[in-house]
Amino acid sequence: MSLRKIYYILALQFVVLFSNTMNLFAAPDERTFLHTDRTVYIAGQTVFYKLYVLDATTRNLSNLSKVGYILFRDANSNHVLKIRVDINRGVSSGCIELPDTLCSGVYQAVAFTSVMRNKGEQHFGFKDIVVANRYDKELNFKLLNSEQTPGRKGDFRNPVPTIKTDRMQYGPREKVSISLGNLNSKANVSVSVYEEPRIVTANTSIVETLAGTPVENAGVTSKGYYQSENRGKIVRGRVLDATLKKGIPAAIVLLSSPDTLANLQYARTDSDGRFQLLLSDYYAGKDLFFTIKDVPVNQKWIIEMEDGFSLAAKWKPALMPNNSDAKEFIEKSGNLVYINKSYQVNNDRYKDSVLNRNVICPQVYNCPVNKVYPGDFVPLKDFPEITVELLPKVIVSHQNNQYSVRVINAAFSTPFQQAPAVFMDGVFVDDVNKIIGLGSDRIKKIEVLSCERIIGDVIFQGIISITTKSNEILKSIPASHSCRIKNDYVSCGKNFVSINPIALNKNIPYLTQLLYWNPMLEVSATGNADVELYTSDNTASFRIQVEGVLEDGTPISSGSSFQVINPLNSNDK
Amino acid sequence: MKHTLCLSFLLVCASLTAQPDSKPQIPAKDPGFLTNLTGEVYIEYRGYRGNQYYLNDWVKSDILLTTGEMIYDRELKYNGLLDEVIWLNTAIPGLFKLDKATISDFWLKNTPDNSLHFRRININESTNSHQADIFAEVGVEGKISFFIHHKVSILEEQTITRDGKLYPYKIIGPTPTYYLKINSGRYILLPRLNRKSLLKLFPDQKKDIVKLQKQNHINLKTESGFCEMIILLNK
Repeated sequence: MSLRKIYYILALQFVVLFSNTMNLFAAPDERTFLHTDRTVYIAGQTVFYKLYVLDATTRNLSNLSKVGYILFRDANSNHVLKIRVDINRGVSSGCIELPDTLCSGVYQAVAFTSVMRNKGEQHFGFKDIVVANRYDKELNFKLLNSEQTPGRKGDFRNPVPTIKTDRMQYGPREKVSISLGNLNSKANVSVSVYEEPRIVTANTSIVETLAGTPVENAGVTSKGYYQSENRGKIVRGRVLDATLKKGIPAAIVLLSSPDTLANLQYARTDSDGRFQLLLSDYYAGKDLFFTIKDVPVNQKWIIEMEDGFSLAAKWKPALMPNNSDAKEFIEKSGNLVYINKSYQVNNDRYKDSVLNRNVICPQVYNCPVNKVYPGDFVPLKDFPEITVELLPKVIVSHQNNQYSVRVINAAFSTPFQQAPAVFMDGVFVDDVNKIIGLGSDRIKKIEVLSCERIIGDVIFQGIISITTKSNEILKSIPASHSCRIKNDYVSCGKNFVSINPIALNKNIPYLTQLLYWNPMLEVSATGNADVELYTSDNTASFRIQVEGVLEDGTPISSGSSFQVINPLNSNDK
Repeated sequence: MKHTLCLSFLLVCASLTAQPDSKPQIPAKDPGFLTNLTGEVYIEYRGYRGNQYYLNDWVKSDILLTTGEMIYDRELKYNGLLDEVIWLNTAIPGLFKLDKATISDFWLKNTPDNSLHFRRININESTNSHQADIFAEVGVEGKISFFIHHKVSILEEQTITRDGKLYPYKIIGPTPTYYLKINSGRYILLPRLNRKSLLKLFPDQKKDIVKLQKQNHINLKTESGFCEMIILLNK
């Protein structure tokens, strides 16, 4: 082989290796933009939102993440509300009910996907809102100083949709026709028509947000660790030696959840002791019990779970004292809520969208099994007594104040050397002593599998599954090598319903600050779309805000306004 | 000298780019992201003369679970005697009998461009009225579907004498059974593979069946011939 050929082969190898290395660093990335119906709310009101998730490279709506996170934090960076949302083809819409106990002040909504953590929190989507509590009569809270808040203003060349209303002024309960145009392309936009608040916020449009490219955070060390949640939520954690504070590699972490069926999922820790588990819809809203399999004697291993909503950087907003305009607007907003409550009118109308989910239990076994119902026999005081009388394949021994359970191998009629997997109310039991005190008065059913069972690559020498009469597992305290967390629900996408006030009783006031919200307005290929809405009895200046993305991923944003005046008082503004 | 320098430069570059990433990476085959197969340890009974399995070799197979999830490239064998799927888990390693109720379909990929498709079907056993799940190979799927149950049965029991002791053993062999699934969704057991049993099931199409058989020279006593006829009938 000539030297030239050797060079050629080596050069080729080098190119392949180099491109592979580059691919490692080019971890997928996304950007988010959160469009909310308004920027000022009264505690207890509903926030309608649309979350845009765009591919950071192509700037098109992302198909990568299917799970999004939205959290609200106050000016002290305390998390006041957390929701997990389903993302479908790069968008998610729905509503969030603000707790009516929120204190008056500025809040920040933070929207992100798991994969965005790889590049640092500065890439997350932020939206500042003001929430006032209607029982707060002083309203002396501070507002955002928009002059000191960095924006991303600039000369953007994105197409600007034109917003045309059929008139500039309307009376109460009149129809408003709005036409959007000048786009020359299909677009997915969200439209909000709301009373223009006399409070200045530093919020940026989708165009400004996505045009800005924040400086990479040098301190970020998790490059590529966070995989995209394209099949569901991923829970992450770490198995540590509690004494040495060092990660334990190749430990098996078991996850199960209370159910009538014994269920189990597992993960192996990596070289740093970290693990990730994909959670199916089965776990939505359930208690998650994590434990470590086969912790060596005299070792203290613990599980540290990672909070999917955790934010390392604190929010330090530049604040300024409240002004009279803002106070007046908030007072008016509070009064409108009060009037609606007095007349029992709920203007935050929305329709439920039903989530059709395929809930599949990760069963430990699905085969014929020996079942015993202790209630069918004479009362037996505890589990050892039950095994002696009713479970010939199970042996309970007691040594040095410690109980141990063994199952007899059906194939050889000898006890297994290792302890079986014991489940109580569907959950893997981390300490066998938890079942010892259970007598026939508390146990509904016992299932025993006297063979070696496999789940993936994990073997258990027999299985005992106990179903208690009153879900005893919920009362149990996790062992030191276990932990228990509550999984969240996916916020289902409730949508705003526009009201036609002509059909309403004229003697009942119809007062609303949000006239229209459509998170999924489809703009046709000609680049036009029409919107119809009705004004309420609230006479004020209303803002039409449009945010969205064109078919090719170009962000677009535009705003306009119109007045609703009382014809009996032409000076009304 | 020039060549040596060039070579060293390329080698250094290659070794630099091949440095492993120092950050911990979750492996692509993390069990936390995979659907797990469940089953029990399988201990093969060796007192048989004959083959218990439909295919003698372990073949890479895909499994469709009843949950709708797919599991790819597991080494499987179909045991016709037990009517069970046996998994060779190379990670542990060991043989495991998979939970039948969790499997909907599986494909034994015995050749690179072909696979044998098995499905768990629920038949009404004529001998005892209870419903039974069996794994059967899908011969033809359509308006009329044809399934082959590659059953292995004990044909004879014998004893041999070794070192003055008597050892019993069983002679086993393939005893396939055939099922037709008709429009009603019912599975009908075919007593035998021949024209008579087909005509008995479809008396209205007697003329068509005879005509198709003659035209296409189909031997209805073979599985392939029967499949061919069902395909033609489905048309």
